[in-house]
Amino acid sequence: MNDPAGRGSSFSKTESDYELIKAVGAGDVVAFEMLIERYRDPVLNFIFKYTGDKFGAEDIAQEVFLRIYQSASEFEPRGKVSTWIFKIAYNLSVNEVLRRRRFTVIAGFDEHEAEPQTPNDTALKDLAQEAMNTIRRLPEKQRAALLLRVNDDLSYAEISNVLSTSISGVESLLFRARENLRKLLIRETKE
Amino acid sequence: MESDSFRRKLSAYKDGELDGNLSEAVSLHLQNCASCRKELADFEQVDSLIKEMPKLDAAECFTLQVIAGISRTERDPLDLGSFSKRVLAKILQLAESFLELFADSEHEENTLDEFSDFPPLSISHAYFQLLGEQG
Repeated sequence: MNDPAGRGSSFSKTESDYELIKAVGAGDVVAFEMLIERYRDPVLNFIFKYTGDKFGAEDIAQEVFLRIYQSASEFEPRGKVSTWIFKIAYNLSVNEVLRRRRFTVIAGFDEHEAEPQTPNDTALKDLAQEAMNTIRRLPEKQRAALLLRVNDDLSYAEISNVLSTSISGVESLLFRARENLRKLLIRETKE
Repeated sequence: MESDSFRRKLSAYKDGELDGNLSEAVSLHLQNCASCRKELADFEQVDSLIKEMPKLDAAECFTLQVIAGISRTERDPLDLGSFSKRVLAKILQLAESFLELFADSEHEENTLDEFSDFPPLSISHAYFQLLGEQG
């Protein structure tokens, strides 16, 4: 790890993602810090909402940035940096969900169910919390597609890249995700 | 286009992902279809709920922890420290098992007599006899 630009780096906050990732690939830690600052909240929240695990989300997010640093020099400028970052976050989140599922099968224990509720949770808006619980019941690709679209504003082409599926596949995933959520939320509101 | 086909396009319409002609056709359909208008309104409500879902803020030390993680990886890129420890542990385990073979056997108690059952008049027999005389 080096810091060729020094702490008085020539990078500004408006530097393009591509310039930053190029510098990160060359080992520039200041550029890397800027990239982390730019993406840590979207990445952390995508992982949190996808896995539903607020305690594990930060560990996975850190792992995402480690992977970014390690493979920045291999980044191909054909796609957007943000899409590439979300692809790494998605892949690691899928691994975590699979790991947790295996653990649940083997140990008959759901780590997630055991999470204590913090006082702040109870203060959250009921309906938004309900949406959080409901979205966890969506099939995984539908959930990922919906989060990437609604929270992170990715286009269908970008989502198709992250999920390694076709654009028409994304269209179908998003339609079904919204349909399912609509049914679940409306049913629960009526009950 | 059937009503159900329009309905299936509502999500992409909402996201602005339909091409101009199709988007216009859906707009026209919406003017005459109350159930599609209701569904579109529900989709919008679903999206607002997702946007209002609880958010996490990264810890203050998040960036520092990532940088520290990189320093650790660079010091030991393949995690050779723990790898060599694991290899060493295996070698010690093997050596221990090997030594146990001898420790557990009765050979410790044995003397040269055990090896002296060579055929008479053989060189080995003569050699052991000599050793016995010297002892």
